[in-house]
Amino acid sequence: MIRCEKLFIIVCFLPAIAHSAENLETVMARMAAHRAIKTSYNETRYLDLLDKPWSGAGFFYAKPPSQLVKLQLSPERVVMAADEKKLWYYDAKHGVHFDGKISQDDPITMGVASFQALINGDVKRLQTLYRLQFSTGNGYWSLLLLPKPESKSMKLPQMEVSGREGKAAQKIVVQQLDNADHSEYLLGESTEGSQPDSEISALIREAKGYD
Amino acid sequence: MPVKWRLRLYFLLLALAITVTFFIVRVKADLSTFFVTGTSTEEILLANEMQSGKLSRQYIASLRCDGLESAALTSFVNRFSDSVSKLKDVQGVWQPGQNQQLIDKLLPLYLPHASQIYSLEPEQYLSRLFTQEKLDQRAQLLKTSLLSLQGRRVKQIALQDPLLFTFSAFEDLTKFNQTTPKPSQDYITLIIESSLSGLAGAEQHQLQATLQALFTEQNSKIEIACTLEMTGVPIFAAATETMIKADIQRITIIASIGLVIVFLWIFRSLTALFWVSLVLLSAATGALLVTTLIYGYVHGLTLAIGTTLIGICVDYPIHAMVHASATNRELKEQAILKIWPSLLLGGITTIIGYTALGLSGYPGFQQIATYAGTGILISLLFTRFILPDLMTDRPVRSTVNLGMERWLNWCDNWHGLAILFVLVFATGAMFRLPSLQWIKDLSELTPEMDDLKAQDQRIRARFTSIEPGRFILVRGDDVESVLQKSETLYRLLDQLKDKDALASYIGLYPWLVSNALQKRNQLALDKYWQGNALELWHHALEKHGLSVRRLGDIRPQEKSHLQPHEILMSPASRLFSSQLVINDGRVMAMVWLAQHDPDSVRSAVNKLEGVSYFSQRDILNKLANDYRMQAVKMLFFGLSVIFLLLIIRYRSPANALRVLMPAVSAALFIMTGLSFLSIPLSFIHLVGFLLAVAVCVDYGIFFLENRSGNITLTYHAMAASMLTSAMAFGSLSMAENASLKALAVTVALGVVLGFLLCPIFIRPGQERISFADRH
Repeated sequence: MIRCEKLFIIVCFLPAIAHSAENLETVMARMAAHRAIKTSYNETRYLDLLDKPWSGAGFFYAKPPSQLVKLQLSPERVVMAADEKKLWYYDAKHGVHFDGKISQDDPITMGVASFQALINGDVKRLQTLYRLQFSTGNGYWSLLLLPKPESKSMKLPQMEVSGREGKAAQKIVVQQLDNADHSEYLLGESTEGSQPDSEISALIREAKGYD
Repeated sequence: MPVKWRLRLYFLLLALAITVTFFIVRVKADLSTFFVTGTSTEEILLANEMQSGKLSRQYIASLRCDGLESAALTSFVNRFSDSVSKLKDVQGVWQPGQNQQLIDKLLPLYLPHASQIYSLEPEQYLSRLFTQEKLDQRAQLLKTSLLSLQGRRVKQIALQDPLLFTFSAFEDLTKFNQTTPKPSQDYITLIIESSLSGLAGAEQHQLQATLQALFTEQNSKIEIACTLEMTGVPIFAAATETMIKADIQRITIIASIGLVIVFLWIFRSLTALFWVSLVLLSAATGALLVTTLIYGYVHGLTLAIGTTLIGICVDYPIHAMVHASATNRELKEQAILKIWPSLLLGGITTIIGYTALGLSGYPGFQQIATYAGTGILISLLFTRFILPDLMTDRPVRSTVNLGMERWLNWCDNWHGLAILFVLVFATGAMFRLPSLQWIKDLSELTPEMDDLKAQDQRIRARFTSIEPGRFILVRGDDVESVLQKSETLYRLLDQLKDKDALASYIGLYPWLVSNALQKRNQLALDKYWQGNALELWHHALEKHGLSVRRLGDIRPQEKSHLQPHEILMSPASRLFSSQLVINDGRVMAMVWLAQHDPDSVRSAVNKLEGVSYFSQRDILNKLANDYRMQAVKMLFFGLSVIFLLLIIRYRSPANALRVLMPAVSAALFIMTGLSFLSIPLSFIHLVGFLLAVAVCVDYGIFFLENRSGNITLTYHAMAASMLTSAMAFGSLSMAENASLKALAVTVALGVVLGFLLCPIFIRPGQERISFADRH
């Protein structure tokens, strides 16, 4: 899930991928976040082991060059944070804590590589893992990321990022390729500046279990 | 046999022996011969495992790349690992505790057996679990886990094991991995398992050079310089072997040059040097041949210590040549024949000393004793049967004045005072003996390895909090019995954890579970799922919005038990390979311990049969003590046999005591000196005293018997022998190996002191001819 979320947050923080005249390269060039940023989200997961879809909500934070935080506030508080080397996950209510290195051997953390590529606008790196299909139409833009056959062993999910023309990303759909499980993220407005910056630091400490 | 033919036969035999030796001799420098083992079966098995088991073949490599971003770091480590794994002498490369792919591979193996491995106490576990409240919590855990970061993996587990028994089984292990603080996050640890024996120093040295070269090659491809540090048995083995080889080379060169200089100074004759060289060649060839025939090889350390043989072997011909040089040409053989009984007795006492050394119990010393004993015997035979023939019709130059006459005169004039002084000093030394300091830990015998030991501790501390030197050993005749005993032990250890006497432990559970426990787990579960437990579980699933259709069936799917051989053949075996030893029909399991109270753990564990608490430090201390006691025994045994031999020879205990006193006093004075200098003694020092005594007794015999009838000449001959012995043993002090240095100090000082004390303790009362008159 983390790879989807990271990819998602980066994309949603992007300046609008605005005009149909734009191509992938020009969009990617604008992708790199330059300041700390925060945006709200609503998540719906469709898992075949659940009787009904599960919903959650909270905020995504990102800060260049590589920090990412997902703060889930409902149904309960869960913090997930990552930097370029490590990943932390902390569910205080259920006492679940994860602290691991980001590794190509681990499909769960593999999305970080995509994250790094996206944040740097590194199309080449991204294209080593995904086949990218950028399209526009009917006032919307869409970026479809299809795992390449050679990265099949990493079990990357398929992702689709979309938004209105001239606007930031509004929706991300993450679809597992080996079953019907999928998640949808609806994104709100973003805020930038010093407040998200200080919140990120506090949330990373929380995810690490320092607080 | 005519002289001419006797010499021809000698040279023919020598040539033949050299040829045969050249073709059959095999010199080994690996440490296995000198590897310390214990006396109990477990200690020997552990020692075998340390020498040839998986543990001994593993390197722990610690990589650090400051400033390298994650993807590049992963790529760097993967490239390095790939290139290492392709080496023909490498069996595997992996990251401990980080191999997610390995866990993914193991899930299909363990999941079908989840209902057989979930608890060490299944009845208690299930009675706590099968209440509505606890099942609700379990369903909640399942849901939380499905929605967590690890959701995909949890789904795979839940489909076969909805009650998450696998979580329960691995709970302690997971907790250990997650809660145990890793002192450093800045390093990446790789385990590199080689296919070579860990103690094959030369081959391991080559492999280490290759690993470094591969690392440098990968390093050159990135902008940031990464560092690589390694530890493990092969690192110590290679370093030790390199040190031994360097020591052999250094000692041989220094001893040879030193002896040639001393010899030429005393005899001023190249011809005499040639004769002595022949003794050395004969003794070394014979010693190599006999040692190879008996043991199949000659160890490098045998050669290093055997080099000191040069000093002892040449004692006899030198003694003979000094006496011969003082007579007419025609009387040379008679002069040698005259002193031959003394030489023979001296040789026998020295061989007794080396035999006692061989019985000291320290590994490898038997070979040194064989090597030295053979060399001495050949030297004696050469002196008696070949040297006189060589000297016939050849002039021997008179030897240089070594100034011993003045010491003899002083001892003569001040004999009463001298003996009083020595006896007072010896009595004082006796009082000092109880305050002697002893080395209590065998590892202190290798201070030259301190840097490597510190590096080893540093690297290990980076990735584990397990105490490497202390563990619990479970032993039995087969895997099943060992697993059953281990499971009883884990229950005991869990109680110690509750009492805070033990922070944590790593055993074989749940990787390996006994058939008995698997059966017990399954039987316990069978009682529940047929009752209302199923209804309770369905209710819990519904409450948390989980699919009853997909997760409601909790009937055990697998009836057959998970067998040890299945696990041992799987990648899981890598995770506990260092904890299970199967050897010659004996099985041992090791349980690693984190921080703990040794006394509590030891007393708890001792209640179980076939289970014992092991502390590497305790084992080494015990071994050091055992060796010391054995060395003391052998020192007294050697002294007693020599004393007995001397009594038989002289039919006088007083004379026997006089012969022994210089040697014993010398050893006593050196011990006192070391005590005043606060230098702790080890069994190596005792071995040195034994050798010094064996050599010094020769001087006592020569001096007491004074077969030439000229005590000045006899003492002069003894001085020449003493100088070469001291030179040879003294050259050992040039070694890097601390044990060889200890031998150097005790033996070299011992022979000098023993020689000087002879005129004080022994009064031969024979004719005195001054050195000047003699010439």
